[in-house]
Amino acid sequence: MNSELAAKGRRIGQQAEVSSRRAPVWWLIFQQEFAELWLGGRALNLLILFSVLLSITAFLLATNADLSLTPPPLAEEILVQAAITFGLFIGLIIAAETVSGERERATLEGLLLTPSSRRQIVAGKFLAALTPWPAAMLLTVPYMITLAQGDPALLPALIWGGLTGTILAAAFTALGLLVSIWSNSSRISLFVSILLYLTCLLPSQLPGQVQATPALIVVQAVDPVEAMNQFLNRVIVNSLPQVGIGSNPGAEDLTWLYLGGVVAVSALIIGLLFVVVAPRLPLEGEGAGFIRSITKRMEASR
Amino acid sequence: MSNQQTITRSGGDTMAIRLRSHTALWWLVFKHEFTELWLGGKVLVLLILFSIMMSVTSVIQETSSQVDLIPPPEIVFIALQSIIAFGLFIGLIVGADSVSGERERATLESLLLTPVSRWQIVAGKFLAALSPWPVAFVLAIPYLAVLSQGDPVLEQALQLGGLMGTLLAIAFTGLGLLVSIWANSNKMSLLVSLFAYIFFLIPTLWPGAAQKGDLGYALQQLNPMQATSEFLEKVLVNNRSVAEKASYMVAAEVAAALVTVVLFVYAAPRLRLEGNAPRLNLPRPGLPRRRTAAGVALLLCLAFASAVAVPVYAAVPRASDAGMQISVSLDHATTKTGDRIKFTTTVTNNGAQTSPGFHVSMNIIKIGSGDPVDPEDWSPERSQSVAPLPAGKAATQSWTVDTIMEGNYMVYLTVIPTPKGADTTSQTVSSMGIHVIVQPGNDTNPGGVLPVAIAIPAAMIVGTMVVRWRWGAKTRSDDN
Repeated sequence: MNSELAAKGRRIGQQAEVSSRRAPVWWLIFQQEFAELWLGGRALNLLILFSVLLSITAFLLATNADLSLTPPPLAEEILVQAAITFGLFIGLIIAAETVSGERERATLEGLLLTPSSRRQIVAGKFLAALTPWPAAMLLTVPYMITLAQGDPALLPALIWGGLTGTILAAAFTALGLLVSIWSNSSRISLFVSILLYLTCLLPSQLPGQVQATPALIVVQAVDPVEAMNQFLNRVIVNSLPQVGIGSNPGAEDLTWLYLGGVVAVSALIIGLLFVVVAPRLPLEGEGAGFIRSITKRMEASR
Repeated sequence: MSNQQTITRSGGDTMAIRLRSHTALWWLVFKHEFTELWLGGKVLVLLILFSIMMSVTSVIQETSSQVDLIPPPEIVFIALQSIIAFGLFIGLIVGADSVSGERERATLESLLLTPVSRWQIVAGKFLAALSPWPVAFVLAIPYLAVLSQGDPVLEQALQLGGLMGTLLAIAFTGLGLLVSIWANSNKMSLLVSLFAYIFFLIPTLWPGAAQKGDLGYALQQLNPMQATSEFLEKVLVNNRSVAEKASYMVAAEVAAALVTVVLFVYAAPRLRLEGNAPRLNLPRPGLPRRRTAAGVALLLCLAFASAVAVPVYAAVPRASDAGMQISVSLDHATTKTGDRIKFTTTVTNNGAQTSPGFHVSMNIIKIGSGDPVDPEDWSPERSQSVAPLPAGKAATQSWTVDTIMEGNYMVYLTVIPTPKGADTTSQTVSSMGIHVIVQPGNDTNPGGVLPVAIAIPAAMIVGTMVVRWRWGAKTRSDDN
């Protein structure tokens, strides 16, 4: 198995040399990663678990709708938020393993020796790690249609959910890749990535009656997951006056601020990956700032 | 009598286990693992991250508390929830790395060759992996003390948070260790453990409206993280007694007992050099059987202990008033979950003077347990305001009740006249009760969602099997 993996870098290098005039290198890397991810069954396993979680959520929401507890717009919002939250997680953990995993299997060196730029290597891996998201969103659509029961909230939920979900999936995949590039082992990369993910989930634990103070709005807007939650709540639930739930006075004023937060933070993470970090992709995970010291200490403990 | 086994670890360091007849071997394994975790700095780094996250969370919570006047018990509860969620995460990660990590670093073989039983190896590793939790909890005490602002809820939060957090830490550390024993690679072990963690965590993020009804409550009670969160909220924030909400403790207790039993009775004796998926072999006669019996007995005891008596404290207020009178258009109803009942109330002013303005408020009590039901879940209107009534006049109000949970209920309405001044009160008047019996609904396919909920995971499983089969066939033909 290891020898097979060790040959991967050389294989891509040969393919790159042979077909460098026919297809860009990032495409070859993408193809290789995509095949490993999907035909190896990893992405499919994650999507099975994703669909199980969505089935449980949808069944619970449908039961509540039957009991007049959850109106369709709220059910749509909860379902699309659950799909995005879980979908991000899939992209994050796949990306968190890509570079540090290659390092552990000693296949990164071969890949770096190919005549391809480091940015192209990262781009291929980034796109491959992003591929489960559209599949996850597609799997979510039948659940959303069933739960909507003809309610007009379906359309905004699909459009805005798809848009913010795609932006966030790209951001979290890029975040996983960043951590993976800086980490020497998959273990550390996964741990740090999940810790960051959990930090983003924190503000959603605050009680519902919390008013939007300037400090809290800043926290919500710079936390991309919470900004997504706030934005979707406004465009799916609060935009429909007949619902009358979860309304927040002045909420419409902040709708686009939250979307701006999602876009800005995502652009920052993706920009950091492709502009600053990818061109300097090192053979060893050297860490960055505090991550470097954490990595070294954890490695030392081994 | 003593002998010494030296195990060469990755990186060239050595682990010397001196085996003496009077020393418990699991203790030696524990000491070694403990030293590696703590002096190696791994746990310290995790705890530094834990304290940074607690600091950030506390600042956000304290700011919200001051601006929105959120009472200290609620802030303490939210902080406790974060502490438990992060504390579990540390135990899970350390547990998930302990055996599969040794496997990957090729140090497991030498450990298995020592005369230490596998059960003792696992016990030592389990206790070492559990050791960060008490420290994390102690680190969290100053945050809780500051956030409680002298409120007496702190003591109860520490007791219950400590108890529930420890149960969950046992469950999740054991889960990580179980996965680590069965996984072939560290990566797989971490992925599966993290996935399980997120799977349990995500439902706790759902808004309250998504967690009502029989199914919602059942899921709340089955998911140990969610049940613990509900239990702590009801007791710390909503002033419910521990005995009253004891049913929410069962999930954490059962999870801790179940994981411990599976870990020590089934998985530990079968610890292998290579990671193996669990197989359902019957236990061998002798010691394992006794351990199985002990494990099952432990499980049953814990489950039984948690099902303690629920206090009965229902007290329906009774009042009479010569001036105001309230009547209802319904005295009893038998319905199914998901049905809706409608009725009216009529308030008559039998006094000689115009009444003050008043509210009519709906109350619902579950007969037997005496549990008050939150009318917010059951009715779009919980309270209605009525303008002052001239003498001899009546006002009628319409009410709707959505019967969302099976049970035997009493619905009653109370007239609450507005007091005349700050130093006076008023006589409330209650209506005759409406006895409502809610039977289970028979809708097994709510909203037509069941075919979708079954078909999509089933299609994904079949699709994955087909891909694996075809990919496996292709790989085999390529190899040939």
